[in-house]
Amino acid sequence: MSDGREIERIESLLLDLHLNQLQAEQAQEVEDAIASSPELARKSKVLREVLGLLDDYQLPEPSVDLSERVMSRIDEQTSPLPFPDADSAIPAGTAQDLSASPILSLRELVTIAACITLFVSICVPGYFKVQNLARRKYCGSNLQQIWNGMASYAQANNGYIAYAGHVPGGSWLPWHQSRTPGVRRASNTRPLFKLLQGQYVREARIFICPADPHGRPMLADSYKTFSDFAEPANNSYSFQYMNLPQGRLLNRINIRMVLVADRNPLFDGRTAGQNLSPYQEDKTNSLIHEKGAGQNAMYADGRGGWHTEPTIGVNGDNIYRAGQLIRYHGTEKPSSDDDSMLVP
Amino acid sequence: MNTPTDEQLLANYLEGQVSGFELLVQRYSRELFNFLARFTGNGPTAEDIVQETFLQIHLSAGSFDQRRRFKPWLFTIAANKARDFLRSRSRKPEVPLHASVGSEDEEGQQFLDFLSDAASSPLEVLEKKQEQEFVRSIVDQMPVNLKEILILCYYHRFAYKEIADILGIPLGTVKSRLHSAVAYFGRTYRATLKEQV
Repeated sequence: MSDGREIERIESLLLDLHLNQLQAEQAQEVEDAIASSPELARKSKVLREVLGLLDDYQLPEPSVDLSERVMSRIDEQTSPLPFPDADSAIPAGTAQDLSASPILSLRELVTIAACITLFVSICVPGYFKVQNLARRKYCGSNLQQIWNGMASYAQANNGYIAYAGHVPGGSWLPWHQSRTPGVRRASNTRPLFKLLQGQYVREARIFICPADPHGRPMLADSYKTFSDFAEPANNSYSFQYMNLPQGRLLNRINIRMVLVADRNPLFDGRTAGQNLSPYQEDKTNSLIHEKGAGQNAMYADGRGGWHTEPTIGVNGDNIYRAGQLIRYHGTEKPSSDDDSMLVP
Repeated sequence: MNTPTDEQLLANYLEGQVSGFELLVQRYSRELFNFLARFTGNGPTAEDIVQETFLQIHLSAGSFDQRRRFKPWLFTIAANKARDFLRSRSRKPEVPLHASVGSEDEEGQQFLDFLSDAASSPLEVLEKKQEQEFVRSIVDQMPVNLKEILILCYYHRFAYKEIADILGIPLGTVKSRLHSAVAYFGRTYRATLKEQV
């Protein structure tokens, strides 16, 4: 050893040596140093003994069927939930017990019920109406922020809107809905995710519409690891189909085209088991809002608003459909450059 | 025939082969359980989190960047879930990185100095069974940010770079935190041993 500093350096590598974290050459250097220094040899021995103590940690045994239980849990999660048994939902004998109550007469009960009904019929609809309007407003506000993020992205990327590459013939459906062998997934949420990853939209909760019953924001510590939203529930909005051979310039897009809106009604945002039933006409709005009342939408020129019909694209185009198609498998495309087709 | 890699199995699963996912579950259930049992100090909880982790993998498989390795991703999710669990139980506050690993009178001592007496003839003092309980209790009581790094590195032999990816911290922090973890273990072992004696 030439000096104290060198010993210090070797000491700092002792733990790495015992944990097999050194390259062969460096490990040899440390071992040589240990062989030539009794002090280092003593410290190395102590360290080995301390680490050896960790081997005494006794693990419990897992259940023998742990793997099977994992698979069952996944199957449960992806199966449609069964409806509760109607017979068990209402305890037997309830009505009889009430009518037999010694405290209130039938007439009194009817009067109370009538009062409650009157109260509920006056107050509750008003309450829900206000609540729904507030959710719509916040949902639209989030969409506006996503749009602002998109505009910032275009400014920073030579005018191109967010684009995540091209998968020829790829399916835009969430992968667990479309398991067609040989069809690759071409996620259409990846371009939107780029806005979050690049911090053009700063918070994951912005991608959740408050009216979305299944929405939950993606965890911030996952941004770096993922190239897309972790699960469908992380995004309530649909974006113009972008599985194209190249990106699109924002200023070349028809300003009467809708680019992003509340989620396409073909897809309800749950993790699995969706029914992709076709809709027969041009009146089905996003299902995020109460009874499909309408959707928020943003046009290519940055105009946004609430619309009670989906036929708000160029020349009355339905923003959620590809041309006049009614059945979707995930590989459909817009019929022209001006055809809005907003997909998950 | 070559054994398919984890990443190939996941890709197969994305193309509709359920058996790919089953193989991954079989391949990693045990290892993940061991990791989580040490992390949470509780077998049944570890089993629950193994299930939660694979469920999350199933739900997020489509968004996994296939250029990355599967195993660190799996452990990232498991570690996050275990941390959430421990946080919800509020069992142990995390030790900030700048905090001293020793008590006040030990300030200024080097990392290895903490260990000098730690392993002195433990078997003379404790029976083997007692010692196993002893070690387990020290690891279980360690601050989460030290424990996770010690488990990943010592028991699961992840490279420093992979641990940095799993925990989302810089490489330098991995090394310094690992030194703190070993020093903490050695110091606690020594202190508890003195109490026992």
